[in-house]
Amino acid sequence: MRLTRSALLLAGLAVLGTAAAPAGAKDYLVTATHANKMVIIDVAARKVDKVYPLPNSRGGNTPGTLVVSPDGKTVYIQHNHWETISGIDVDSGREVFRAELSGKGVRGKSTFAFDVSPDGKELAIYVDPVQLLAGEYRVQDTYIAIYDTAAGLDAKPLRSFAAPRRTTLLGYSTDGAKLYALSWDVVILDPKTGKQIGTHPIRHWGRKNFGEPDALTVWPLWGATRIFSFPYVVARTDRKPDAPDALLSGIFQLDLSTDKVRYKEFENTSVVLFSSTISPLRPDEAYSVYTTLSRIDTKKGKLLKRVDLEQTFYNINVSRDGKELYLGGAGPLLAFYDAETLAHLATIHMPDDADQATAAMRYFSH
Amino acid sequence: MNHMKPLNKKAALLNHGHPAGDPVQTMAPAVGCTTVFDPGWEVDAFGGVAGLCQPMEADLYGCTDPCWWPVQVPDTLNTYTDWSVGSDNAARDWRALQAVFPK
Amino acid sequence: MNTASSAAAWRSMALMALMALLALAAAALPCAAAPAANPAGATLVVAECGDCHKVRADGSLERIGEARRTPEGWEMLIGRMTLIHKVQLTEEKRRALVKYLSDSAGLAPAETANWRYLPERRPDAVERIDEQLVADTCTRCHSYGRIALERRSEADWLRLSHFHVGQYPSIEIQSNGRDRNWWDIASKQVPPLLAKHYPLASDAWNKWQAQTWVKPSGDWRVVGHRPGWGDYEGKATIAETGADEYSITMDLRYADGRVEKASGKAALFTGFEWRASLKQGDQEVRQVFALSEDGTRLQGRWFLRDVDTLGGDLSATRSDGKAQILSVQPEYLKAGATAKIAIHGVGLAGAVDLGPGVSVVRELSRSPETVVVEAKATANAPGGKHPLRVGAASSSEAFTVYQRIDALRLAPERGMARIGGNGGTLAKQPAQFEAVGYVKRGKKELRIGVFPARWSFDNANANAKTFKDASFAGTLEANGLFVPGDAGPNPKRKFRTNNAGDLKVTATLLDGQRSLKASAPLIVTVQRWVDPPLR
Repeated sequence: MRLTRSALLLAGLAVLGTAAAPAGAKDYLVTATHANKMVIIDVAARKVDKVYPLPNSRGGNTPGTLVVSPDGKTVYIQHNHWETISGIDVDSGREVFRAELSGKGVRGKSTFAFDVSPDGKELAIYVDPVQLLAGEYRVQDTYIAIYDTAAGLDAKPLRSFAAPRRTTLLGYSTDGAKLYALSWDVVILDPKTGKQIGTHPIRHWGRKNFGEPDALTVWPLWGATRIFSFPYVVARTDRKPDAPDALLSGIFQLDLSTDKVRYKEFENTSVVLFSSTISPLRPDEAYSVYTTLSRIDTKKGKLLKRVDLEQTFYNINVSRDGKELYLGGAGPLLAFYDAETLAHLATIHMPDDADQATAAMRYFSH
Repeated sequence: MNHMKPLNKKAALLNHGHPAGDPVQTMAPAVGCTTVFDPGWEVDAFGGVAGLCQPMEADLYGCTDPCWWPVQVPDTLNTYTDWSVGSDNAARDWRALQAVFPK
Repeated sequence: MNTASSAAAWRSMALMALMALLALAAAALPCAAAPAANPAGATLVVAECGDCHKVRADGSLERIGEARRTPEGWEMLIGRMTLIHKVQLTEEKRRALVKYLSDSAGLAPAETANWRYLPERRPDAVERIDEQLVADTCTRCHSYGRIALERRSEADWLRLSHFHVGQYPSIEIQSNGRDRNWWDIASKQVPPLLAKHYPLASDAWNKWQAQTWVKPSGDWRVVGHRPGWGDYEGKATIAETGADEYSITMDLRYADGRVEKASGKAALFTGFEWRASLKQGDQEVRQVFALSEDGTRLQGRWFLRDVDTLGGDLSATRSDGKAQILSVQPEYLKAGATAKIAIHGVGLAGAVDLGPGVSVVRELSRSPETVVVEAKATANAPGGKHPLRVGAASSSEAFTVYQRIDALRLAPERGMARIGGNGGTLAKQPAQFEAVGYVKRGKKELRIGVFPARWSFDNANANAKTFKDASFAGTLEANGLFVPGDAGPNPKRKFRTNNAGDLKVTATLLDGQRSLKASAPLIVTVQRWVDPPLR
C-alpha cells in the first residue's frame, strides 16, 4: 500500500518538478508541544507515531521552529526558551546535535529563524544577542551563525556574519548558493561569506498607491514545493479610509528554486490570516489558515473558498500530492482537510492534549 | 466566521501604511490596553473582539511563549519562565494559571 | 543626565534634610522629617543592591541613583529584581526600600498631577500625550502615564531601551515594531526626548524636597461619588501609628441612605502619596490619594482590591479648616421644581442663600457639616452653575440649575469589562455606567449631573448578533453595572469561544414628558494575568 502510493506520488512529482520522496519512504508530520516534547505523526495512519522529550531543556516555553534534514533522518528544533537548537534523530529520539546560543554573559535567542542547507551539512541560525551585565543589559548586533551539522552536542559556529535586525525566518535556496533572511525585506546572503548578494523588497517595494505591507511570518512551511509564502495585509493609499478596499490581503511567494518572487492581493481584508502554503498540484493555488481555512487563486487574485475551523490554527502544510492539508499549531489539535473541497477529513490530538503554541509543524518523508 | 468589522479601521490602516491612521485616535479603549494588533489582546485592530483568537485559551501559549503581550500575559521566554509549567493544555488547565502581581 | 548633576541632586538632598529639621520646630501642623535624613535607608540600598549596582562617586548606586519613581514604580522595580535577578528580601526590608526610595527619589506632587489616573486605576481615563514619538514607541504595550511617571537620566532612559530588547526580544517583530527600524528609534531618537520631558533633576522636585511635609493626622470631612451608588459624605479620622504610618477610620453616608464604616492602615510616601488598605463595609478596599502640598486636602480614588474597576472618588478637607461648601446633594435642581437639597462642608454657619431664582422653602436640619433645606426653583430660574452660600462659605461650582436636559451621555463613553471567575484565579472586572445629563450653551455642553435611568444592552453590530454576544457576555444590573460572563472557553459558543462580546449599552430616562436615550459601546474581553500597579 505504502509503496504503491509512493510510486504514484513520485510519478506525479516528476511532472511538477518538486522534491521527490525516496522510494519506500513514509510521510510524516513533526511538531512540538508545550510539554517540551517533539511529536512525530504518521500521516497515512493519522496517528501519533513517536513522542520524544527534549533533552536538557528547561521547559515551560513551547519549542518554536522545526527544520527537517534533507534525508529526513534528523529534526532540528529550537527550544530551551529559544536559546538552544538541537538535532534529534527521528528513529531513536537521540540528540545528535546541539548548539547553545547563550554563554559568556551573553544571552542569545533565535527569533524562530534557522534552516539547514540542502546538502544537509550546515545549519544557519539567526541570533539576537544581549549582553547581561551587572546592573544593565546591552543589546548586541544580530548575526547568523553557521554550524557543521556533524559537530555533535557541543557545536560551535564555523563562521558567523552580520544579519539585519527583525529577522524572523531563514531559508536556503534549493541549490544552497543563497540564504534568504526575511526581515523588513528579503535579504539575500551568500551563506559562505555572509556577503549580501541581493534583496527582494517588501517594505520597500515602492508600489504606487500601496503602503508598506505588514509582513510577518515565523513558520518555514515550504514543504514539498520549496516555495516560501506568507499572507500579508496592505493599505491602498489612494482609497478613503472607509472604502471597502482600503485594506487588502495578499499572498507573497518566493520560489527557493528559481529565486522568483510573486505577490498578489486576493480580497478586501476581512479575516485574520496567519500562514500560507502553496499547492504542489496547482502552482497558482495557495492555502491559508487562522480561524478559517482559505483556498486562494494567486494568479487571478481571488478567494476560491473559505471554511470556518473548529478553532484557531497557526500553520498549514500540504501533502506531496497536493490533495491533503495539515493544520497545526496553537492548540492541541492536528486537523486534516481535503485540499480541493476544504472538507474536514480527520482531527487527531497531541499526546496529553498538550498545546503546540508557535511550534512550526513540518511535513517530511522518511 | 472570524470576520473583522469596520468599526474602527484607523488602527489597522495605521499598521498597514495608510496615511489616514492617527495613532492618538487609535488608542485602546482603556488605559494600559495593548495596541499590538496581531491580532490583539483586548481588542482587535478594528476595535472589536471578533478578530481575536477564539477561544483565547487555544492561543494563550502562542502569546506567552513568544512574549507577544508581556504586559497582559506573563512572558515565559525570559520573565515568568515557569508560569505555565504543568498546564500543558490552556483550554483545559487555565484555572491553574496565576496572576503574577498579587493584590 | 550626567553624574555631576546627579551628585548635585544628592548634595541638595542633604541640605534639605537640614532645612527640614529646622522647619520642624516652627511648623503649626504636624510635620515629617525629610527623607534624606534617613541614613539607614541609604545603607540598606547599598547593602541589598550593591552586589550588582556599583557605588558611584557621590555615594549613590548606578542606575538606582539615576532615576526617580512613584511608590508603585519602586515597588514594581524591586519586584522585578526579585523575580528576574533573584534578589532575596524580607518583607520588612522590601517595604523599607520602597519607602526610602520613594521618599528620597520620588516625584513631586506637580510631576504626578497629570497622571494620577494611573495609580488610581481609573477605568475611564483618557490619556494625555506629551510626545508623539514616545507614545508611538511605548504605548502599544504600556499606558503613556507609566512612562510619564518616571524620571531618569538620559543614559538610564537608554538603558531602559536596552532592557526592553533584551528582556522582550519579540518587541522588534510585533506589530508597531516590525514596520519600522524600531531599535534605531528606541536607542537613538527616544531617550533624548524622554530625558527632555521626564528629566532626573527638576525644579519641582528640588522645591518639594526643600518644603516641609505636613502629616495627614487629624479629623477630616469627606465627600465623594461612587458610580452606581451615588454621592456620599462622611468623616475620617487619621492617627499616626509609626513613622509615616497611620490608621484610618471612616463613616460614610450615601445619598440613598446606605451607610458604610471603614477602617484600615495607611502609609504616606514622598510626603504626599497616601496608600491605604481598608475594610469598607464587607469589602477590601484600597485608597490612592494625594495629600495637597499644604496638607489641607486629601484627594483621589478608592477601589475594591480585587475589582478595581469599581470604586469612588473622594475629596477630604480638614474638619477644623476654614468654612467651606464641599458638595451639594443632589447636585442639580430643575427649574420649577421643589426638592430636598443637602449642602455638605465644614464650619457651615449662617443664612442659606441659594442664589437668584432659587429659594429656601424651609430648613430641615443643620450642623456645621451639613445643612439640609427644601429648595424651590422658579420656572425661569437662570440655568447653569448656580452660586450658593451658607454664611461665610460659598460655592459657584457645586450646584446646577437646569431648564431641561438637552443631551444625555454615558460615562464612561466607551466601556470595557473582563470575563473572570468560574474557578479561575482572576475576578470578573465589571463596567459601571452612569447616565449624565447636559444642557447646551451655544456650542458648549454643561454637565448637570448623574441621573437615574433605565438600562438595557444589545449586540453592537451584525457580527456580534451572529455570535449572539449579548446572550453570553454578561448581565446588566438596574444601576448600570455590567457584570461580565464566566471566564474559560464556552462549549456552547461557536469555536468554543470565550464569553467576550461587542455590546452596546443604552440608558433611557424621562425628563418631564420627553424620553432621552444614550448609548455607549462596551467591549467585554478576556483576562489579563499581568496587572501591575501601573499598567
